[in-house]
Amino acid sequence: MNFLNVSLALGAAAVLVPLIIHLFNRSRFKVVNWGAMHLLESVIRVNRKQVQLEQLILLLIRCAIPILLALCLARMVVTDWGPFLHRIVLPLAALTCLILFALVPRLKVLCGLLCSACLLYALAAETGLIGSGYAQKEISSKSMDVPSSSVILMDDSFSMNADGGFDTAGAFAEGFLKKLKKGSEATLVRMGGSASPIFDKPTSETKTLGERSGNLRAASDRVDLAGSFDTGIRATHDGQNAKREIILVSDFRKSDWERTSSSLAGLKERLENETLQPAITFIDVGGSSLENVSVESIDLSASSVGVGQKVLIRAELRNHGTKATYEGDLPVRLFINDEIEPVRETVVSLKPGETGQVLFPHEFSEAGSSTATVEIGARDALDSDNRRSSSIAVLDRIGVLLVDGAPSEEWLQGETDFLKIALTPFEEAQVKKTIEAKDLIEASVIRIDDLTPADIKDGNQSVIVLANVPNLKDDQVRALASFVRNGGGLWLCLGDQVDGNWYNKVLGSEKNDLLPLDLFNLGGSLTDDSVRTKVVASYFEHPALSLFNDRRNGNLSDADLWRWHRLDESDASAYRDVTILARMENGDAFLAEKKVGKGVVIQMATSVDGDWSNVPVRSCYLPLAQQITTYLADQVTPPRNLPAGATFTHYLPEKEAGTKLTVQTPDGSTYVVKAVKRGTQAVAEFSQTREPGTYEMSGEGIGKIKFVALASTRESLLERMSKEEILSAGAELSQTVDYIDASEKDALSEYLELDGNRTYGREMWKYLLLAVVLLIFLEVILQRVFGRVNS
Amino acid sequence: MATVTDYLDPKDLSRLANHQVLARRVVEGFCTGLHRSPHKGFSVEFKQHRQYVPGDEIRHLDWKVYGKSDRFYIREYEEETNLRCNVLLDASGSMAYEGTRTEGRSKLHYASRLAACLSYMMLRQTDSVGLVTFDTKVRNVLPPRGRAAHVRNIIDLLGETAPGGETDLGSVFNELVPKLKRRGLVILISDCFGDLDSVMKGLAHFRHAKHDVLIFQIWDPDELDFPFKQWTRFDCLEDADKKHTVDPSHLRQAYLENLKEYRENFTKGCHRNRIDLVPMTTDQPYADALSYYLALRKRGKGAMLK
Repeated sequence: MNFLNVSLALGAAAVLVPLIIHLFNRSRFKVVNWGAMHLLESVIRVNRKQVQLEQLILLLIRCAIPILLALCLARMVVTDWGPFLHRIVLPLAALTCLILFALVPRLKVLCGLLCSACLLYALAAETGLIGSGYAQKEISSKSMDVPSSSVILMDDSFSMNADGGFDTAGAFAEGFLKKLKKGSEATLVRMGGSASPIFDKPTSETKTLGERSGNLRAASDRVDLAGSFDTGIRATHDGQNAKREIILVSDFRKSDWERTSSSLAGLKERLENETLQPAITFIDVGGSSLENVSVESIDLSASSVGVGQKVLIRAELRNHGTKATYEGDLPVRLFINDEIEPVRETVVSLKPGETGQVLFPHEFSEAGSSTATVEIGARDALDSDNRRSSSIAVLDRIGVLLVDGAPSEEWLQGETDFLKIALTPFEEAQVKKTIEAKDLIEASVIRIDDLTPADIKDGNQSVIVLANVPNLKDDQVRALASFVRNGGGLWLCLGDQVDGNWYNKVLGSEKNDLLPLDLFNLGGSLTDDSVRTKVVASYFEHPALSLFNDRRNGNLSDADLWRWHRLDESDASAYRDVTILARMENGDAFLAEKKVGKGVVIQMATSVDGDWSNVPVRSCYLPLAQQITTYLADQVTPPRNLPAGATFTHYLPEKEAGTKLTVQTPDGSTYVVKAVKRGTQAVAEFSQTREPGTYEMSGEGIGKIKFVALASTRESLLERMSKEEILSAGAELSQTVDYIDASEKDALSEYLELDGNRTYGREMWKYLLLAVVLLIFLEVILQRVFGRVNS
Repeated sequence: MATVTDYLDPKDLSRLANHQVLARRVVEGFCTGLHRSPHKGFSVEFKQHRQYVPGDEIRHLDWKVYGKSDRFYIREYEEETNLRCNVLLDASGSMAYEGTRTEGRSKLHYASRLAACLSYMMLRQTDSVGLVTFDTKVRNVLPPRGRAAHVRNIIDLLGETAPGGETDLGSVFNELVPKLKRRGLVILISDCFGDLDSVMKGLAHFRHAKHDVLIFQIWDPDELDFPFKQWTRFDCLEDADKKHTVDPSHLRQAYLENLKEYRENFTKGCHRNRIDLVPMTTDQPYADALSYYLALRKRGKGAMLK
């Protein structure tokens, strides 16, 4: 016996109610001082036993009603005659005999014997003494006559496109859903990427489900086998019907089933614990073709480039086949931004099992988020993996004005010389004619004496660096303040020339408010090695430094700092809107940031040249200078090429939290995401990225931002499992797994034939409800009948 | 000390003012009154002539008859006498029953008021009335007197009477019969619970002693329709050891059938002995039932009330 709504079976506890009422009535009796005892006594004497019997009968009926009703509501399913007979039918029969015993005095002996026989038999059968003959005999409910709770696990990874496998699968699903009996419920779980059902819960709208499943495309990443079975088992567990089935429609490729034994073992245990075990069927829709070429990966020489800068796009190609089909001319094309016409084309030759590379140089002519797509122009078993894209940020050039507070004629002795090289490395190289590449940043140096307010207001630059500038004139400060407030970035690099008092009083004044932290005094020593310090190597939350979380990009704590300005963090009120980006090992702030108007000011405690530290000669210097500058120019972006299923992230200014962005997925549907405030910035996230391809995020004020969800390269491996392998994999999941090879026969008719031979437990609620109604009537009638007792 | 108004309500008495309690049979008495005397006397109302026998007083000879027929006849007259009435009040435990519909008045209380009322009426019509209270045995005997002030004694005795003990009508009657030497009216106020045979034997004993017996059988309505529903423990009023916890709804039908049978047998027994049986229920004003009964009795109809 099993239940579809187990929790409702607890309602059987309501049996306590009549019991309690009975006992309560007995204990809470009324006392009557009775005179006419001679009339009453004889009645009691004659009827005592009969009355007790009647009360027992009524009590039993009243107890039976809630029990049967609870079983009825819990939708009892009988899979086995034995317990049903012993626990329900025989006790009810015994009760009937007892009633007859009480009502028909002539049949007393017969009814008494029958009643005891029923009870004894039930008891003996329950203890296992008899009744083994039918105990295991299943109640067959003809499979096609009962509604079912069905789950189709549909492999929609893009390898299913090979040999029309997905069309076969779709046709099967649609046909199957049409054939379902009325009252059935079904759901379809898409297995690709991460398992996701079309409807969260099984639906009885199988027609709608069929239509929806007809619209599916096999475009997802590799299948999530364990997750899909987990979803399927959960869906059948909560099913409304006793007949439960899980149908896996897949192409059974070897790569999907590798290293799944442990998860399958866990699933097997769960399946065995299910009271109503679902019937599991594997339907193999895979084709036999193996010839396939794919674009394995696509690498760009930079994640962001400037307009007109040359970028190298390298694609790795692989021939997975075994035949020499693709030797010779295999056209490979480069597309930019999914345009129809390729921008470049080349021809490669790939032997079976061979890997090849193509390299395309390209210069982007427009700024904005762009994609580069490499496509192999060949027909093979699986077309979907013949293309692969990568997202790249194409930037306008960033103008940076370096104000040199301590200029020098000597090479590398000027305050901004190191910085200039770090910001424009290619330009320096071009002088030597070694590399043909353009810098993203356009840096110009100006001596402090030559600086005019007009230079500052000049619209060409988005970042100004003050390197060891002692002080500025008032008009310069005014121009600088207005530059920052209008969205410019200011990088204050300190040094020996700096006039601390002027910085604190003028730059830090309430009017200008350009100084994140006041200067306190000088720390460290140029002569004493013992007071040297380093930058603390920690996890950097700040986007400008997050590059250094990957040690391959350089290590900030490599460099020694000899001398620095101690920054005053004691004034808590002023310190409130200041972020410390990095600290030195002695606890002093190294980099501090303050947002002023639309712009940002970053303050560095030490000098930007080699006078006070050896940072400029460390590998971290160039990325540090580039990152801080691009950050100040508001150009730092999180990665945009991610594996399918990962979350895409886009940063927005803090005040834009709450704005709505539209995301267009590769299949053309659109979603709306809302930017939420996180720390000092707003973040828009999108995680429904199970389908590989290009996603476009757009919104007011930002252009189209392109993200690329990359498919797993394993999908390109088309090698399939043999029937024996599939069956042994199935055996790891469940003892009985049926297998249908759709390539030989029509999967649907085959399945229906298979299903016709299955049996499931029978729902008994109708009979139980009938019994409850009968018992209720019986109770009312007997109550009346028992009022008339023989005198 | 009981007061007269506890037992005698002027309203009730006024309703009964026009009624007389008459013996239906000949009773013996001292003084002339409403009732026929078995002694044929010589007074106003002519009864019969009979032949003179030596020894008769000559002054009773009817000389007119002698003049016409030349024979000696004695002229006899009806002699009226006063009634000696004994009220037998059952004060057994079962009479203590207080039903749910009688405003806390026990059957004994009802019976006492009835006894007082009857006594008052008797005394008013110059009959003598006495009161006997009993349970298992005779408890108190107040001999019949005809003085109007005797009602005071009766009410005092009624006031002292408390219910208790077991009913044993048969033995009580057998004990009483020899004590009531003169024929008269015996009014039994009781619920007549007990062994039917012994009760009937006791009643026959009274009849044998030529008493005119009248039974007021007092019922509580609960005893007649057994209205109990929930689980109930019935404690016997006469025997503290008898307790029965039952679900009365299951027993109701059987009880009612048993009751019906008992009442039929009792009524039949009374018929056989020509005893008037007047059932009364305590939820009805006794004055109503009494006046109805007395009116019937005066008309001489078979005043066997149901």
